[in-house]
Amino acid sequence: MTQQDFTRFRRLALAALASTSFLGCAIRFYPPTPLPEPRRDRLVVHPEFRVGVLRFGYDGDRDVARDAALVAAQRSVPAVLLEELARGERFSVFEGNNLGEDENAFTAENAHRFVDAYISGTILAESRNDLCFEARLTNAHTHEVLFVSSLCVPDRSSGTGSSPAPGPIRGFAHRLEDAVPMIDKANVIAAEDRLLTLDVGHDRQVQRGMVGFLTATGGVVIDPTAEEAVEELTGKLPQFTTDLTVVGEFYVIDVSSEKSVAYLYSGDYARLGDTAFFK
Amino acid sequence: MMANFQKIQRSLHLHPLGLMLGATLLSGAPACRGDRGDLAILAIGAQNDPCRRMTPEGERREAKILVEHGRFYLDRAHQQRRRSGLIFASQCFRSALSITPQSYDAHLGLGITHLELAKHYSSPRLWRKDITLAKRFLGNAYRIRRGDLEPIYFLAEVAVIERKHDIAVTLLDTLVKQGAFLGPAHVLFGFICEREGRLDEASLHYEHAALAGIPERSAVYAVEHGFDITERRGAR
Repeated sequence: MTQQDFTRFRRLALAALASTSFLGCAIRFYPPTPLPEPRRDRLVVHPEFRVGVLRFGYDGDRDVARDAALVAAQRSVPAVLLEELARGERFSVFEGNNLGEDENAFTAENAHRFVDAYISGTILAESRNDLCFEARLTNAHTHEVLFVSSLCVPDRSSGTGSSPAPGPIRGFAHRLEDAVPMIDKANVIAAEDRLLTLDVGHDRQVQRGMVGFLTATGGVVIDPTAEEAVEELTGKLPQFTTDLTVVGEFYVIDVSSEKSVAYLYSGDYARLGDTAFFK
Repeated sequence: MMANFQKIQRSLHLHPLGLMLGATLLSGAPACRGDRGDLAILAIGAQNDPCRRMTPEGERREAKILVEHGRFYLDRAHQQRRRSGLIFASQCFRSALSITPQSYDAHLGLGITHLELAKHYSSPRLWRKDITLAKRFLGNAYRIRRGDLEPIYFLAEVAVIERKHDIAVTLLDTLVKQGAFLGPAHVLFGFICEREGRLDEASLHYEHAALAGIPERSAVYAVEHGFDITERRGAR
């Protein structure tokens, strides 16, 4: 190695050493950048209140297995009720008896896999002229009864069939629809993991057992000073139109006069400032 | 280990279903860590398949997997302080953006990746390109979710690198007022004060950051720099 080569090599080595240490300094120079927060999964939810109708039971002394009229009544009352509810726009209606099979069949226990609430009922009395029944609207997750009422209707049956008069059942269906008031939206004013507090309560007709979904609007503050600073830094950037991201589904577990507490049964977690939409 | 790697490689070639399967296997195969880079490139290459026919739901799922991969590389680069992971991360986020151009996660991830890349350089001549890209993608993320506090923090870091301290302070004030990103925001405040020679104020911010204590690396930085400042003040 000549003296010239050695000098060149020494210069190169020094330059490499200097750049390495300089880069090292640069890496250590700035404070560490934290990683972005864990994301919440986007959910696809049914925006309407889903209701499934179960076959009615019988509470009496007659032998259901041998009583064709009673069996017909057990089927016809839910069928007429279903027809009336499907005509209305309040609920998205599902015919429970045809959903799922075997252990996945639609029953009160696993109704939450298909719907938000189910309608079950009991035939109280069945005679040649009258048919009396009780119907209940029950939250599919908590099994808390949201509405219960009984009704006697004229039975226009012939032979072993059963044909309850639709008029009174129509009125009954409207009462069922009114049992779950339509509430537009609410804000999450406190959130701790899966429990969230909403800024609506009895004052807005919120009831225990009502269901809804949550959109990711939390952690957002429109601060004009910050907006100006962002624009000064980034310059004019294109505007984006964004849809609301659904990040959870909840049901109400406690209601006070102006607030209510809900439980997030699907989704990751709730954040302060998220928007809740009731079904 | 090798068999596992080959299995993943094979499944990636069977696009587009294989991409999903390969990506899933990739995320659950710690044994072939060394080959992840190659596999990621393979996966990203498969994205450009012109025969790809995906439903919107399928595309959304694919973009989500790519964002998760981007975050994985970003996380690894963050822990090991290596530049190579950042390149893979940026490729993943860019592929996610090509499928879902309005993805907040992809814009934010890409912005953070370029911010981290910029921090590897000392001279403005070298970091200018990355900082410009970081500003663009973080700005997009801010506009996609207008008012979200998360991009505000990262934009404050960009402002600090560009030595635009007044903008950084405005952005950090917003975060501290809302109690968001408290630890890192105070660290950055401390850094600005230290740079401007206001050591007492800097020390106070580092104390606040250490008390906030999250995330861990920011807290460690705050404690170390708190000591640094005390020593320097003692030496004066």
